[in-house]
Amino acid sequence: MKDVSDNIIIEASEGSIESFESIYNAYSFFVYNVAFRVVHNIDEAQEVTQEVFLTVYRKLKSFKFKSSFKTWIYRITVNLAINYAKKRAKEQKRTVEYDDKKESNKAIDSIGENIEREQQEKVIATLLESLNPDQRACVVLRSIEGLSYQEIAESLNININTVRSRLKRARETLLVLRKEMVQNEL
Amino acid sequence: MNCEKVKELIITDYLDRQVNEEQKEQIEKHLASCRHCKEYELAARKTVIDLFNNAERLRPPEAVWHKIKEKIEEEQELTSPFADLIRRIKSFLYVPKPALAVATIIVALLIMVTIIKLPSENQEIMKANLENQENQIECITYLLRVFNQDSMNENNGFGTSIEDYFL
Repeated sequence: MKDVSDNIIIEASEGSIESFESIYNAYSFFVYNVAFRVVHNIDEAQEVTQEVFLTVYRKLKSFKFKSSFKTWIYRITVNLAINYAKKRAKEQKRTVEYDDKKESNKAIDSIGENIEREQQEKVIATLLESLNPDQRACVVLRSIEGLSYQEIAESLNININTVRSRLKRARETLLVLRKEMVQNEL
Repeated sequence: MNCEKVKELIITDYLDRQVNEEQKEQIEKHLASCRHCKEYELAARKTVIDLFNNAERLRPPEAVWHKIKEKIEEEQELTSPFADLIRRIKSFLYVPKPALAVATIIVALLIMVTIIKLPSENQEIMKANLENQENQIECITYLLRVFNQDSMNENNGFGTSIEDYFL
């Protein structure tokens, strides 16, 4: 993920749409993918992405360059996505709309590869769905987005040992569920 | 290092490459001699690392940026000095909504009362006119009767031939 310069941030905070677009271009992939994996729905991932960037825009003036801009965006994203997922979890369960609405940035694969990829995505979706939003966020940030334990701790505003214990519990759950899935397939 | 501790490290720090060299050596030494932990490590690597490493990354649709841009521009318009001036003028001319509602109700009531009242007033006027007309007829009838009586009483006549002719 490319980072943005302080000048871009300052210009955006002064109202430059072009500079804000640079910020969007730098972080929208991360925001959108984290949102999608945490809220588990394309439409809601788009809503969360919009909300994240509008929050970033509104709070840009109050951003002090003491902390990392990247971590600041991570925190806003994760907080909004987790809140959204928790709110939605209270409502009825939703189906994954991955099949219908996905927009891949990769080249069109062969049919065989596509089927394999779709199956893999279904497995990932089922596994992530079995976790609570806090655990899900940890797994997404670590295993999909590749953040370090320290970055996850800063993004979620929690202790690094809490990150470790959440990952441990989440992954133990995933291992059990995956084993059951494999046994059912056989 | 026992199996429980090794498994705990495998599923977190070891697979995430967060262990130091010393820990790494100890874990790998254990794995070389413990088939059960080695199987656990392979299963964990496959499920919690490799599977998610291959997860597809999605591109946010263009519409997302357009909506964000639109909202930002709306907000910028609202916070511009010109918009601020308009807001001040509006606040100067501001009529509180409840007051406006009350005023609307009063005007509506006045209109309704006027519409309902007019026909009854017309009826009263017509009634008065009718009474006047009746009075006038009565008056004329009375006068005619009196005149006729006088005429009868004065039946003496003038004794002229014209009078005879007409009577």
